[in-house]
Amino acid sequence: MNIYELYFGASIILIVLGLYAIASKRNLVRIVLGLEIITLGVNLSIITMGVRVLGGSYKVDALAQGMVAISMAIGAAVAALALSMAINIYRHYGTFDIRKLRRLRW
Amino acid sequence: MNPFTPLFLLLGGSLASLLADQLLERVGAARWRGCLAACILAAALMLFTWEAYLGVSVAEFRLIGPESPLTASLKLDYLSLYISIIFCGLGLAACIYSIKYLELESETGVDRYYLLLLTLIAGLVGVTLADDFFTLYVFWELMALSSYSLVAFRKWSWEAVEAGFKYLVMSTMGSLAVLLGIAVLYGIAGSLRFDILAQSIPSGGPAALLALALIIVGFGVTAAAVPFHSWLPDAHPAAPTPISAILSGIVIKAGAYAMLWSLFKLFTPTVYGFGVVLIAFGILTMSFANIVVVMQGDIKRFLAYSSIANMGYIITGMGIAAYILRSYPSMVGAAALALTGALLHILNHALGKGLSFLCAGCYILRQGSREISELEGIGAEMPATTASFGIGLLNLAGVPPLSGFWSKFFIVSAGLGIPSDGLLLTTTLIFILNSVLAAGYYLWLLQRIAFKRRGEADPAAGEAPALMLAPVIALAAACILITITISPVLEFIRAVLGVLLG
Amino acid sequence: MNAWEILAWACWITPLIGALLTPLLARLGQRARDYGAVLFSLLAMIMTLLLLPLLFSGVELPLLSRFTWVILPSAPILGRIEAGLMLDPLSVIMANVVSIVSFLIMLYSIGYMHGDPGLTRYWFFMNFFIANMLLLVLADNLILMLVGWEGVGLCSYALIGYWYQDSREGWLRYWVGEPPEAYPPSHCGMKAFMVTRFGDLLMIAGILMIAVLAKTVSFHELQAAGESMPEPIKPLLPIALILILGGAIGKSAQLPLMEWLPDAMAGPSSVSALIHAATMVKAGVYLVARMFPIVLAWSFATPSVLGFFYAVMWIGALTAFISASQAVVSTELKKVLAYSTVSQIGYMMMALGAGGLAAGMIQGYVGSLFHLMNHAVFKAALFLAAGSVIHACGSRFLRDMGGLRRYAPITFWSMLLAALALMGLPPFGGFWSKDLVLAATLSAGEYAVFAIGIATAILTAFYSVRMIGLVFYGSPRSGAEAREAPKIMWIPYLILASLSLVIGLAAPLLEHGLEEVFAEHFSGLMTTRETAPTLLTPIASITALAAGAIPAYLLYVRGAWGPGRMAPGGGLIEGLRRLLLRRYYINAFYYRALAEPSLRLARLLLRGFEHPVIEGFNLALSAGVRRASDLVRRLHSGLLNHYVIGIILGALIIIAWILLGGVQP
Repeated sequence: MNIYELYFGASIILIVLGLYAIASKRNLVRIVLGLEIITLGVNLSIITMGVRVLGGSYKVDALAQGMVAISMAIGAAVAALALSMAINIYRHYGTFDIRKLRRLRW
Repeated sequence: MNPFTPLFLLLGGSLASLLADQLLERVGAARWRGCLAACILAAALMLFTWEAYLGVSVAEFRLIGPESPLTASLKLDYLSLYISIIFCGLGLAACIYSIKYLELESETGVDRYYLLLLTLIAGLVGVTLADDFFTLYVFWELMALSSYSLVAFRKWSWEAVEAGFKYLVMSTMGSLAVLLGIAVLYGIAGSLRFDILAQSIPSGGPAALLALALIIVGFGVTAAAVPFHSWLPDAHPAAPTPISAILSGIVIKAGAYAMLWSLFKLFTPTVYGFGVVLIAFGILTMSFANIVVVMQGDIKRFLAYSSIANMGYIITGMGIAAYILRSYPSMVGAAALALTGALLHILNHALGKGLSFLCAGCYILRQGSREISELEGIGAEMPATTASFGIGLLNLAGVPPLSGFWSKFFIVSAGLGIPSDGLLLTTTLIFILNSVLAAGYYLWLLQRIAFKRRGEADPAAGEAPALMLAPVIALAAACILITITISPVLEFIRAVLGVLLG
Repeated sequence: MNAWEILAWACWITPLIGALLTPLLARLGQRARDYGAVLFSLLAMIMTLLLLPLLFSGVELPLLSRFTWVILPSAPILGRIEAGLMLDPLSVIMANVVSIVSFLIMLYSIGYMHGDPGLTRYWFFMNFFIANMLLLVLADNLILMLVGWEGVGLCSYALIGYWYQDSREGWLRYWVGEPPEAYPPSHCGMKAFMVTRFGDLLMIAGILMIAVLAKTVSFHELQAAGESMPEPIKPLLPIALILILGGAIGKSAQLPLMEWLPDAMAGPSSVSALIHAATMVKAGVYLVARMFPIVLAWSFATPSVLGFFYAVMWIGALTAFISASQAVVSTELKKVLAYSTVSQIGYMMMALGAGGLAAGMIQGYVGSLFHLMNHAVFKAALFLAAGSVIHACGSRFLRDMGGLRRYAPITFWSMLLAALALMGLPPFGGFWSKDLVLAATLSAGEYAVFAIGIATAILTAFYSVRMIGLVFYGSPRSGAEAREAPKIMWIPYLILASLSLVIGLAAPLLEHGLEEVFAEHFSGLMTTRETAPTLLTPIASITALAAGAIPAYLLYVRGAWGPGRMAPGGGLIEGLRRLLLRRYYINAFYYRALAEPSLRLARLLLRGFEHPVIEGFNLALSAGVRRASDLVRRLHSGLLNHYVIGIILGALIIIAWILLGGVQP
């Protein structure tokens, strides 16, 4: 198993974990965490794609590094927004349980 | 003059607008907040229109050197111009509308509103101007973040907060799918510039197919394709009305544009037959949305579902074009016709839906309720608003000779251009049935609002305030103008097609 | 686009804008609305007048102006939609006639319709009418002309039924006819619409046929298409032409579709003047004149199309006679004028038909057109003055009028001048144009038609003098206090009446000028008129005039007979009178044989088919959609997790499809 498959497999596992979290957890914060885990997995895959073999060692392409840096910043912004929305929800609904957020339906 | 000036204007202008609004509030002229934002949007619109008039050819701009791997590039061609003009135009109308609307709705945090609005438009314009995938992604996220904030703008309302959260989660999932697709493409090609990608993709094998699927999924979430659409009926009504107009009118179009660009440019339709996938999802989208609209009692939710249906039309048009290019490579004319219909529908829907939302906002403000049953008959007391509302709805319903008819007609005639193909025939048939159903419920809405008799004449009734009425009438006039001068518009779209299809 | 084209487009768009602005102007006040509406018609008139120099400027005619709306070559149908205007002598002259008369009538309306509650609607439809009529005469192809045609039909319907409230108290002023043929205004509007619709259907069928056979609908191209017609379709051409003639018959109220015009008198007199005397009813004549060179061009290859001209001529002649005979006994003032209109249009058709048969005698063409101009002027004057008379006497019946000469002198002189023009007394314009018409029939060798023309002239003189005598001479029979009309009302019709005299005095010049213009325009198709003017026609027409006028003068002016009084002659005269009064029973026939059975059938279908079947289907369909909607919307459960699962499922489906489904070659 070469390095690409290894790390890419890891990122896929992370993504699947994150999807599972979003799909089945009922706590808002856990859902946001799931989102972050997916972000992590995708960033990992970007890094994986940027790996270049150089002699005996591995180097990651600068473009991949740059992309991940920016992507992490964006991920952080999204997380911040999501969590602030979660706090607002707590103020309105008194709970983090997503099953209570069903007023908008049909 | 740098061709990309409007983009920088919007980016810088958002900060300037924030400062200016704070200043105005200190000085006490709080009513003028947002005027700078409107001026900046107007300037951006005029610059784009000027460039379109000059007949710009491809212009490129590279940040950090031409061949550095960290390069970010922007491009300007006819497609970018076409879409950007639509975006800036509707943004300007919504901005002017907001000035009075926010005052009447006693919104809080108004100084941040215009900042977010301008960054939203900047992100949208940046998406159309991006020449490499990561730049597109960055601007995409800029647009998305601004829209999350704007949807959840009314912190004191449970609806906005709930809808905003759901929108955020689902839209971020879409963005992450796109990012994963970008990663795969990066792995195939080693760089993310569109021209390099277009050359490298055919040799990508199954990885390229995975990227294709992820891109369709990712952009489809924002473009409100079924089953990725569930955020839309909650998010659009919960936002303040001018933001609803922008969301329905242009943000979801950004999804369609991104899909259009990346699919047609990177994965040449003659090689990759993604047309069938698009057709399937387009049909599913429009049928689902059209059926659900009928029972909606909230006017904004009604219009939101119909936005989903209209995106279905656009996706179907794109799908028909791709399918024809793949299966019948010689019938380029029919494919061009379908794409013309889809592009024209982007324009028509932006105008018509934006107009409908703004008018609905006028009615809601007057009545204090979003329920259609309580809004019945209010149209008679607000004739100018209702006349524009009628024009917008008729445009969406596809009543000839308005331009809405032409966009749907082009897609249908492209589908019928190859009568022997069963898939196209079925697609066209379903398209026509959906259009008929849509025309039915639009006219039903118009009839209820404009023609039903109300019990008592409301003493507070009267026309909408001038600053809210002006963009409404301007958009209605634009609908009529485009109907009359449809020939130059089609010429422009022909140039756009040249970019897309080569 | 040069200045001529801009003028052409502007002159019909301006009244259209005026019509659309009328509700807005009404917000500003009544005077703003009234004068604003008239202003737009004034602008249209100025613009058409400015087009006149085009005829003498040496520009090559016809001048075509095209505006493209949609061009998409790859669309299988509707790929090319264009509109075009054509400026040639016929269209420019017609446009001028329309706009000048329209403006004067709009001016009259300010006074005549003053105080009426529905005036916004009135001005809207009047301006809309002017726009459509100008579009009709300026259009360069059959389809665009059809648009204007339908537009004027709509305005006619709306304006005839203007007093749609059908008030019974206003029976004397607003209704038309006497029992058993008394009709309220709304009914008259519908009747006009239906009858002309029938003609329009035939015309549309004809246009479609021509479009398919000749592959074009543009007038200019149709004329050239005559040489290249393939053999098999040649027998179909006359049929298509006759179908198109159906539309002209309907719109111009010729036999057998003439019954709507007398009942259209239920509308305001200004409407009667504008639509039913001066302009809309001439649309049929315009159509025939438009087709005239086309049919002549086709006749070189397909001689059978000349049957078109036979049909036109005979229909015109018969209509002229029958209608004039009905005017002789009419008991209502406006009905006399209505029958007279039908009769005079018959003259115009007669002239066009005769012109076509005489191997392209320009005489018939010019005669018809000149008579059209004259008739527009003097008939409009007559109708406007009639409106004033009815207003003064409070009733539309001739038996309630009389002796108005003392109280309304200006109206008297205007009506007298116009009536003399109608009769064809030299030197009034009517004499010259009628002369040309009769000469054309002689040149074509159609002596029977000539005789009918002379007989009609006798009747025309009779009823004109009868009308003048009943209204202005004798003792006043009206109960109301009669007085002269206000200035804004009598100025227009005095102008029109004087115009008919002026045209008459300038007639030889005008005739010569018209012939020059048209001879040059139609060079190659027609020979110019014979240079041997015969004296037979003027003598015959003056004799006819005397034969008709003198008895009428003796009876109604000197003898002061009432309108219903008959000469002693026993039952035969009485029976003849009743026949003419009941319009040869043609109207009754239409009602009995066509209208009532259709209504009965419609009611049957409504009860038996529409309500159970179609309503049931509609209700079932909408209920079904609502059920489906209710079911499907449950998918939006409100729980975010469900939505996310939806996304994941959709993504998996797409990924699986694309990876496995052979999306790549």
